[in-house]
Amino acid sequence: MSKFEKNAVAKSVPFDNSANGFTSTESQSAIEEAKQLASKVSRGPTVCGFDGNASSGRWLEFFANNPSSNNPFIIAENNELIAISISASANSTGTVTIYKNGSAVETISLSAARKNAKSNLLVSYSPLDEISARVTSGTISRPTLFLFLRTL
Amino acid sequence: MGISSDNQYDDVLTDSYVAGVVSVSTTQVEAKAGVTRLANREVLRIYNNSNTTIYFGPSGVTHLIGEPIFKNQWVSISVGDMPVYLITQSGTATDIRIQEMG
Repeated sequence: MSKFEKNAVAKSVPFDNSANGFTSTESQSAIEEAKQLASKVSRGPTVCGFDGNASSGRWLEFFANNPSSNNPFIIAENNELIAISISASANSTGTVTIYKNGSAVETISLSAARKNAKSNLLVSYSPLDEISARVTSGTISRPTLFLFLRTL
Repeated sequence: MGISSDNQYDDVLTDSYVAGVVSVSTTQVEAKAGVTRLANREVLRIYNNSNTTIYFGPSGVTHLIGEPIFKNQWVSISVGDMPVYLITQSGTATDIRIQEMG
């Protein structure tokens, strides 16, 4: 029998990070690093917009002809809004405000531009929370708002 | 496991078996189940049931020269009447399970 015997735990198992972008050198940290990376991924955007010139006060629609003030996006599971972006059919100047249960939580603006993006957001949503959005200043040509949510 | 063709020698441990718990800090402590090492000890087992990494080695061991035992890791050492010491780099590991067999 060997004079020393020892069981392996993840922390004692080496991890080769030479060709995968990981920084960890042992398996425990590598698994935790992978979890952190996975948690930053969004599911893909939820989209709302308006098929026309949207002036201040115009609610954007998740479904055609259904203003989000009446038909908001209903959250189904714990989520976090991590980024938003907006596009317009022509250079526009205006601001879109995003609401959580009727309270403003984020804004995104265009300044004589057709697109903009905003990241590193941390707006939490719980099941049955409502997301709505409307133009709150200026006028935006055929705005399309993209909401990037990730499940917590 | 040691095997002998001499019938006077056992292939398994049958003489004694004790268990205990020690706390390990930045001051070395001997790995033993009781007040003294088990007489005629043949095997020492150390299980780290704490959240703090401990290091084992001879007297004078430090975290720089000792071998680590991570959380939930055990080591089994064929060692008799010779002390094995434990130490942490920082903090105290309060639940280190020790078993001695002879």
